[in-house]
Amino acid sequence: MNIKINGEETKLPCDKPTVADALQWHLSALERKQSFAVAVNSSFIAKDNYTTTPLASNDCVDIFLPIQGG
Amino acid sequence: MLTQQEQIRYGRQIMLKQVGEHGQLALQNAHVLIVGMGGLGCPVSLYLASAGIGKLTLCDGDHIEASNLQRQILFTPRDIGHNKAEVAAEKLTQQNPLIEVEVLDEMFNEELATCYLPDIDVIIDCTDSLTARYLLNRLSVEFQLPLIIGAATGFDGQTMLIQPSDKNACYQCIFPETGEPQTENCQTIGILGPVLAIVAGMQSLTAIKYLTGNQVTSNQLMMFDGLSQQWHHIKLTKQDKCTVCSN
Repeated sequence: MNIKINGEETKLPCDKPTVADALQWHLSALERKQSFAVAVNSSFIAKDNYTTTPLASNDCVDIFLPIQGG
Repeated sequence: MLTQQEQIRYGRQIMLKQVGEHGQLALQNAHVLIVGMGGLGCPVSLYLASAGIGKLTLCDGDHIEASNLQRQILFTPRDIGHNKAEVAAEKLTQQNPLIEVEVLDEMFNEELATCYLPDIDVIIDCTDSLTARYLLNRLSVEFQLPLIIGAATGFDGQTMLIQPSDKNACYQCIFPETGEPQTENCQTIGILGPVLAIVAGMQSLTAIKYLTGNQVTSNQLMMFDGLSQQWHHIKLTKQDKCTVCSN
C-alpha cells in the first residue's frame, strides 16, 4: 500500500497496515524508544492506538519529535 | 481608565475593535511570566512590553555569551557576561517605562513556582530544554494556568497553547516523557534567528489574544517549516491516561 510518511511517498509491504506498521517501517528501534508523536491526515494518534489505527491508501502519516531549543 | 499618554502610546492597537480600551486595560492589568530569556524570550518580551502588559516577570539563570548575539536580539557585546533576565529587564524598561518588569535571575523550579505562580495570568515557555518544558507543563496543570509553549531549532519551530481543563490536551498527552535523553538542540544543530522570531511572534500573539478575551485555540500543535515557509497544524486530543492532566 502506498502512503506518505513525513511527505515522502512510501510503499508499505502489507495489505492492511496500521500506524504501528508504518512506524516499524520508518523508525529504527532506537528512534522508537525516544519521545515522538504521530498524526494521520493531521489528526493526532495516541500511542495506545498505534496498533489499532488502520491506514488507507494515500494517507499522510506525520511523525514528529518534540523540539528542544529556544 | 487610560491616561492620555497611554492612549497615544497604544493607539494603534486600541483602534482594533478586538482590543479597544477594554482590551488595553486588560493587558495593563495582566502579569505574564516568561521562562527563558534566549532566542524566544527576547522577542516575546519585547512584543509584550511594547504592547503594555502591566507586569512581566523574566526568569533566566544564564549569562550572555558572544554566540547568543546572532539571535538573542535584546543583547549587545557590552552585555556579555551579564545575566540575561537582568539585562533584558533594563532594556525593556527603557522601551516601555509604563510597565513593571521583575527579574528572577535563576532557573525556574518548583520552589519559585509556589511563590510566583499564584499571581501569574499566563506562563510563556521560552526555554531550551525539554526538562524545563515538562516542569512548566506540570505546573500549568497544577496551578490551572495557560501555558504558551514555543521551541525552535534549525529551520523548524513548534508552538502550542495549553489551557488546562477536562477537555484540553497538555504537552505530556502529545509527547509522553520517555526518560530517553534528547540530544538535538540549538547548540548541536544550529538555529536561524528569524525562525525564532516567527515562533515568538505566534506566542506573543496568542498571549495578547488570550489576555484581551479573543478566541484562542487549544488542542492544536502548530509546526513551522522554515524551508518551505509553511505551517502545519496537528489536531490534538486529551489522553485519558495522561499522567499529568488526567485523574
